[in-house]
Amino acid sequence: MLVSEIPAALVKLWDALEGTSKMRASLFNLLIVTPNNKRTAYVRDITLKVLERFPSRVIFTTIDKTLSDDTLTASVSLIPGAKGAYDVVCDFIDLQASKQAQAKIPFVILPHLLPDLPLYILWGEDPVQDNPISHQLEKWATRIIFDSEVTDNLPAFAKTLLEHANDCEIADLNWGRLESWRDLLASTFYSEERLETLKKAQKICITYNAYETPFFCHTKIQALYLQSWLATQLNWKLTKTEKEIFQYDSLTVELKAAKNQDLPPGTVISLDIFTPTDVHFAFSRDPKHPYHIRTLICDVEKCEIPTMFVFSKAKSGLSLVNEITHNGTSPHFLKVLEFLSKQRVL
Amino acid sequence: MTLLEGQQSRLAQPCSLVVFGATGDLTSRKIIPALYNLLKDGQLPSLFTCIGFARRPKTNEEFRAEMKEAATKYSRTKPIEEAIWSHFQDHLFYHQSEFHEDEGYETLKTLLQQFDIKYGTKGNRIFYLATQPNSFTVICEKLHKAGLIYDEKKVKDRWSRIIIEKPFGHDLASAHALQDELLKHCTEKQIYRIDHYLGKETVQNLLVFRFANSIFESLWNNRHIDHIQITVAEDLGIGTRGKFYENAGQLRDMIQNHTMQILSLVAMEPPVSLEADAIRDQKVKALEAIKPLQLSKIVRGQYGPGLINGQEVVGYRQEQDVNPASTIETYLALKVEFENPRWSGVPFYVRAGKRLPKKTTEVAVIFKEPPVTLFQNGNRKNPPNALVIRIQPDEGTSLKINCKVPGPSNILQPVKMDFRYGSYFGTTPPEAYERLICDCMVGDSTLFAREDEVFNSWKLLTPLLDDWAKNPPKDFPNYSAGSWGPKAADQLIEADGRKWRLS
Repeated sequence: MLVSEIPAALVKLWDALEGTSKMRASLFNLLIVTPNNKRTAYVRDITLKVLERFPSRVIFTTIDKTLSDDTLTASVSLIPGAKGAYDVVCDFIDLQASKQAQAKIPFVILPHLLPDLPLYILWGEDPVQDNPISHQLEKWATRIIFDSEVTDNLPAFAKTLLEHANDCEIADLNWGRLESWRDLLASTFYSEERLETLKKAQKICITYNAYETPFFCHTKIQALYLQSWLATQLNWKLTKTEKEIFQYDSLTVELKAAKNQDLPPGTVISLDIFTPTDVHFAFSRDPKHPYHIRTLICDVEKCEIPTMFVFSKAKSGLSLVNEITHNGTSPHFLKVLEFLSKQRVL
Repeated sequence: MTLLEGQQSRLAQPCSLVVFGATGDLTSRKIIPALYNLLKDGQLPSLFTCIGFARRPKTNEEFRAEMKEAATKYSRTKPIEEAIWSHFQDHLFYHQSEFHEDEGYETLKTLLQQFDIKYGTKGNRIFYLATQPNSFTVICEKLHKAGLIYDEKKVKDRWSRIIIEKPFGHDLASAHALQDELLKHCTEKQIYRIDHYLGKETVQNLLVFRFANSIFESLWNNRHIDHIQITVAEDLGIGTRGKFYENAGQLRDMIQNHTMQILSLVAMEPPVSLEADAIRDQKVKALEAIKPLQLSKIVRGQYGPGLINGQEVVGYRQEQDVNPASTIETYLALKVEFENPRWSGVPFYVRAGKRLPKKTTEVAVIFKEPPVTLFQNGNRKNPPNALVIRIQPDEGTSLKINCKVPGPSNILQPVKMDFRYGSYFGTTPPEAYERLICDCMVGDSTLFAREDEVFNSWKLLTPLLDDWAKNPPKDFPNYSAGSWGPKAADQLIEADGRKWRLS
């Protein structure tokens, strides 16, 4: 349908709800801008997961670079939302635009944003490639969630995000996906003493899932985020980088690739921390329950009883949900971006 | 002694309504459909006639056929009911005359006298001036000369009233001059200056909302309110009104009348009663309390080409009957400040424009932050509470509050409580013209602008017009059709650390 027909089509859908037990609801506006590629279906899938948790008005915009003319079409539907006492449904506006027509998108979107509700934007394009519409939408956004998976140049991506952070709250899906690991490390190294041990670690090994899928091929990013987070929070000084090895004075951080088809691509599979006093902190996944992380702390003489930490938020799509409900730009994430932006190639 | 009780005591009195400019758009789009719906809703007096007065030769039958077509197209209730229309058109007539010819008024007088006898309209008259403003004076003069406007001191058993459309003058001096001319032929009490915004349900509800709800009235001041935003946005351009608009602009078309009326209703003190003058006295006091506008706090704009609803539209300068180098404003944003105990320190940001992303008129009251921020959201403040009164479309009221997201942590998310007239009362609210014409028949002038309201509004805005005459804008067009206005308008509010709401 033509984009001018959106309002009438929505009214028709709402009228059809009359007399049913279904109720429209929107907690916020969720705008997705994504290229039309193999990843689009995945982005749509995680969007639906958000709706299961938080009913919202979705404007799902696909930029199709294969279309050569000035195409801009739309469709509208009602999508089931969160299950509860009522059958909640959400407005879902689909926009398809050719590259040539994408400049029209802000004009098309503006009348359909629900006033007084936050606007969260999932920007599925590479922000490094300047896109004028992102700047236009940015001023209305409560927060922009980027997707580092789409970039081939992480330092440039980090630099660009820092620029956006001056005007708007920002987040990144891969940063969100790492939240459980950050929680685990924070709870393990809870005391001054433990933190001091970590600070003076000799070697850290981060094993990540290098198994690629058609929509996920930059598998090293979460591992890079994790090591950068540790470095920036513990004030390590980087002296040298070489491929997948980061040297900080006497500490070596190594990123190791492994392939595991049972886990999402890019996931941190395990983490090993070795101290000069031969203490080994081993964080590994339970083979039967991959979202259960076993922590084992050993020194030369003894091992502590292993503990279990459950990554309850790690299911697909929940990282986007988490990023939405987090408020403000994480200061830790900003430090990570600063660190990464200064690297040459990663 | 009366048989009427309660709300029915507002029953309209028998009368004849003469519409000057009967072949114009306003008559066909608004006045006739309003009269039809009043009849349908039982609000029109049973003893009633309507006479269209215009220059073009036309028979009663031709006029009735045209008006039926218009009512079919523009009526609030559709389809029109044949039986009701048939009854209505039996009381609908056409009278051809030039506005300046005495003879036309003499024949009109005779006609009205005949109707008084035949239809029982009792000598009561409403003269609706739906014409260009330059005809107002001549029509009043001729009506007076023909004895159609009664001397209120002498004539007590019947009445005559004049409804005047906006604009009332084009600046302070011309408004005074027009008023002086009109007062030669009638009294202020006989003049009903129509501003259709005042007839809208939600505008009327502003008073109810403020003064019948203690929770809001107690918060309605500078202790609790940070600022107020008034938005009057239209997605339409100027259409075929190029000639008119080139002489008017947004300030005269929207700000001086509609927007200032809304502003005064939001800012006024409680009236001592619901009498017309009690309310209008308070509105005038509110307007008088506005500090002179600072030129640096005004942003004017003109739309260039852009997109509305996905369709490409031309810029203002490319519109029909518009000067290709026109410097007329189609957008205006201003910061209004009051000097009174209630509003001192609370800015009112007002914006009105054409070719904005959507049609919406609303008042947003943005509250101050709580004195202690217990629930700080990371490095971000919680969004302020906002009370939004939607005047059109989708009339209603919403309140934005912060709410805890279910779960173990204290994460806050703004949510909205929303009241919609359409959903709650289940009926389409009457058109503003229905209410206002009915009020005039009843003799209730509450929802019509009084002379001092108009003068105060012009007094405030005329210095802008004077300045603009000397300093034409250099950057027009400065916003794209389909955007929310010029960048400078964003800067106007952002300079105070605030932001326009996404309406």
